[in-house]
Amino acid sequence: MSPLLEVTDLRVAFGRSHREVVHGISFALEPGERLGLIGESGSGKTVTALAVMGLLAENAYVSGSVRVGGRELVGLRDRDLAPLRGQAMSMVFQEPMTALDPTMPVGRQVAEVLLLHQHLGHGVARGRVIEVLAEVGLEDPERVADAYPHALSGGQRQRVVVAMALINRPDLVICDEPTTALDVTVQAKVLNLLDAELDAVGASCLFISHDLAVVSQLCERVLVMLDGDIVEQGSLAQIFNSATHPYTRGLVATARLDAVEPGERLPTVEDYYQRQVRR
Amino acid sequence: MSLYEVSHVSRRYGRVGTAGSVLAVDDVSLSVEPGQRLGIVGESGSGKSTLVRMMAALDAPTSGEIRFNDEVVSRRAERDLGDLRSSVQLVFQDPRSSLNPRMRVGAIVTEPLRSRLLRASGQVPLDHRARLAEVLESVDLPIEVADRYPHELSGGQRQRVAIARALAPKPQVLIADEPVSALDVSVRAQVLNLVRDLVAAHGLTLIMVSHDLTVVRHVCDSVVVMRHGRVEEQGPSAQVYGEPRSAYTRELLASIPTFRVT
Repeated sequence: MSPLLEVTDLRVAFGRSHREVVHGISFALEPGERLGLIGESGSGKTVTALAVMGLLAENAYVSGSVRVGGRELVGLRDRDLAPLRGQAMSMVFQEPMTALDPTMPVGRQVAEVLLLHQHLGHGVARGRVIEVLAEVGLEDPERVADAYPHALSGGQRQRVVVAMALINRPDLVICDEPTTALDVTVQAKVLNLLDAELDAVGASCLFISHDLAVVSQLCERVLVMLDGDIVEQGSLAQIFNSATHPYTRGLVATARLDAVEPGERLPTVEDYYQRQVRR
Repeated sequence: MSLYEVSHVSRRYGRVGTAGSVLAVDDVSLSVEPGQRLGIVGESGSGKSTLVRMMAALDAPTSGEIRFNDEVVSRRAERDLGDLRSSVQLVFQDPRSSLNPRMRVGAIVTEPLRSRLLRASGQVPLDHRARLAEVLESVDLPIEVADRYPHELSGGQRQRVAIARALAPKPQVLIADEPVSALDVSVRAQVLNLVRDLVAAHGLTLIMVSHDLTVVRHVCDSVVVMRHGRVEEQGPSAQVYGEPRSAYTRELLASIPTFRVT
């Protein structure tokens, strides 16, 4: 089976000086697979996600290859890329308050994703939106559809964003820190929801997080990113038990607060890996 | 004698009976002993931040009373709060918004020392340069950052600056409101270690608010679990985490993501 997403030697640079922040990374994602992408802030996780979606700003220079379902996306014009976004691939962002338009009822925003890709009457679209809002576990979906984002809780907003990402049953869903802005209890619920909905839709998922414990809830395989390079990849068990890169071992240790006796000093990444001094 | 005595404190936002009126804190009583490390946990909207804001006299209760060092501090004029202002310092969640972007780190850290109110209390170090060097060293930042602006620093470094500013006037009590939730997991460990070491080294009383129970368990010896503005459960950390009495606490504990390796 050919991979659903195949990234080869992806490089991203910004600005007039062409400062490179992603240094030729390669990875593949099989249909139905869930792949975690972990690393600290600034390691290039989000830039990678945005490069795949073709959502980088105009001052970004992307080279290499990104293939989704065998189709090359790098170099594609925006008008050829737009029909794919929200249809073949979609994204769940970190902060639902900024991902949603504050001036529009959320039901209309979900419907927009639907109407952009399918010719439906508004009545039909609304019915489908209510259905999907109910699927993502929102009680009283009729009321939620007519509410503005500010009137919803953080968890409800993120459910709406998940509904938008999944309504067209895409093949690939990229989740960029989807629960980082949420409370622990809400995080647990949203992770369960994502788990169930990805299965229901049969979508592959690239799941980005700085928290390995969160990634382990959903993914079988993990990529570790450090300063724009993928330094390690493997199954969750490999990463967890027998990571080869010291940076990965550091990330595993810091994510395991529960393994440290209360009051003891917490392990840090620096205990395992000393980064070359930059600047 | 308790350092803090909070008795039957409530805080309502908006007028009773009007739409949008919220009872954010509902009849909360607790006490904090000198040297205690108290964690306050709960979800968004549980009233934990409102509670500590009142304890720091940044907000006043609608009813009830807060005593600090045996003096009533709730509903007091700002000019009579000198003792509390110099003894209680805060660290907030997001150092990008709690540090003035137009001030250099050196000026930010020494600003509390220039407060008339704090100077009047007579406990504040007078040699600003010496104190600046001292507190930057204690948070593991090189003295060179004093000339930098907050935006030039990383998230972890910025939070260290916020902690250095809190320590500058030699407080008795450090109140930290979600000090690590805006930080990466890997940076979180560094900042928590730092807080733990500083509290021990300076004999500080710590009040830490967090929605993350693992974080609180690491640093605090006692815990208050809040829900809908009320105290759901309180007690020593070992007991609350080991044998939680309330179903809600058990739910919170079960929500913590732990490694799932198959």
